[in-house]
Amino acid sequence: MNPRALAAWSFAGMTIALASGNPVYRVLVLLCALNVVVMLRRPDVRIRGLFVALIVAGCIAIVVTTLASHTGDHAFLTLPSGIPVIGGPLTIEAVLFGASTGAGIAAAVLAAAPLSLVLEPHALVDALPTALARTGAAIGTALNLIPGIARSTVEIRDAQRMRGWRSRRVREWPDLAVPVVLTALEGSITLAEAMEARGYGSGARTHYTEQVWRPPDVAVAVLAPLAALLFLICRITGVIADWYPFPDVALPAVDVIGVLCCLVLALPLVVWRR
Amino acid sequence: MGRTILRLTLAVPLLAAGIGVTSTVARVGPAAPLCAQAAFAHRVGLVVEHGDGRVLRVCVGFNGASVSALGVLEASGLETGLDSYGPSLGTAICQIDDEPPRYTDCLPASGSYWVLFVARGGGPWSDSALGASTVVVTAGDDIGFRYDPQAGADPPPPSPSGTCPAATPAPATHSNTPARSTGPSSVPGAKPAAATPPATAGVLGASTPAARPSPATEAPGIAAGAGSPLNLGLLLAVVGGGALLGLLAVQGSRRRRR
Repeated sequence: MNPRALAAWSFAGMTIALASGNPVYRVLVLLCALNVVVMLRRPDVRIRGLFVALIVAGCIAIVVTTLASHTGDHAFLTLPSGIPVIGGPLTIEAVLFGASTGAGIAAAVLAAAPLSLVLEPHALVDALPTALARTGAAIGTALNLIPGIARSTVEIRDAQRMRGWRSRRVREWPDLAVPVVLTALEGSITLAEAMEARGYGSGARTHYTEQVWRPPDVAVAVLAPLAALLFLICRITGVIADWYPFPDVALPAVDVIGVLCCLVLALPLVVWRR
Repeated sequence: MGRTILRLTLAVPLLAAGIGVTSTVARVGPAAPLCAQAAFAHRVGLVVEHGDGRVLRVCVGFNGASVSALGVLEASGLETGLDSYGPSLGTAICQIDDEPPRYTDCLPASGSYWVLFVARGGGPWSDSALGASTVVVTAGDDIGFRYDPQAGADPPPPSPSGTCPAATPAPATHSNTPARSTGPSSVPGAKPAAATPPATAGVLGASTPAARPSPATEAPGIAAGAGSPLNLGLLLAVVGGGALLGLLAVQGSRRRRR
């Protein structure tokens, strides 16, 4: 698959997920993105952590909205009004609004997730426009250092523990932080020298393989943004209705055009194979 | 195991399709026209349900492409009390047909207030997410106001069926015709539309059909969102979502086998 086509698909997915508060469209985008991540991800990638994070984020959205919003006709519990912020009636409408918000967050994150879970990092950097190539390479390199720093922290902590170090007091934390920072600096200098030795910055970035556009890539890169654009136009003109559960919850109005725009995001499942 | 998942993949969309078709059929209801002759190009039904269950039905005609819910209410000739919340929030409906008899707070934190419903193209009622001065309706839509006590069940007003007949609209040459009532004038609170009518809208007919029969026979508080477009769209969404869920289950099953 072409990284730029996947980037266009991700952008389209995020646009549709965030353009409307209608949970039906958000759930459809979420399901499309979930299938893409599960089907096309790199074999070495684990996605359990991402799912756990999304579930936690969704639960937080539901809890916060339920406790902070006291509007809605269908109250299922009333907290004493003396409790600051959360005191008052807790309503079904607020729960559903929180769930819709959580679905929107999950859909947007899952739409962007293939950029890191499906593509190789170097392919993503290669896909950047020429003007952003150096910046992208620098950011990508910096982000790649984070896992290294995490590993280094664990190793140094274990080594310090074997020497009798305990992390109970804050004043003892420099014993861990100073070696971690020094190791990170040393690693950065080593990486910079390695990059310079390979000619980084001496000219245009070269590629081992050229990114080619095959018909499926073109189809995804054209149809997904077009679907997002159509969805946006329909949303602005009122053809696609938003959903707002207050004061009395109602089933969301669903338009055929909106559903079709969402289902276009399932195109990678048909035309791409890993 | 694989066959079971494949069967589920097929069954979920089919079941959803059945539910969607059933819900579509269930929304069809009888119609009994109130006003016989139109004096305007388009018409909108207005249903007002008081707190005691009294229901007023007014068929309001207009000549433009669309009209606001507030415009319909004002053209209906019913007594209204309004309060402006500025250009961004619009106008709030404080009083309709002398209910409440008097008020100090237009939208009280507790107690009854007027809730706006809209039915698009003969579909079921849905809560309006926008205010009366912002909601725009077109020919064939209906507007409902219900005096809601903010307690207990919150059903929508009675069905708007029959408020306006499905007759061929009159030609648009009546654009400057003053508003007039052509239907039965048995609405207690209805006044001649000539009192405060917009130039291109007015009452075509009014009636007080049987009051709300019984709260137990009405729809529950959670209403459907819109008319036929909702059903087809919802049907497609459920079928598509079911297929995507089935695909996800198949992928999970394959991965587990490996």
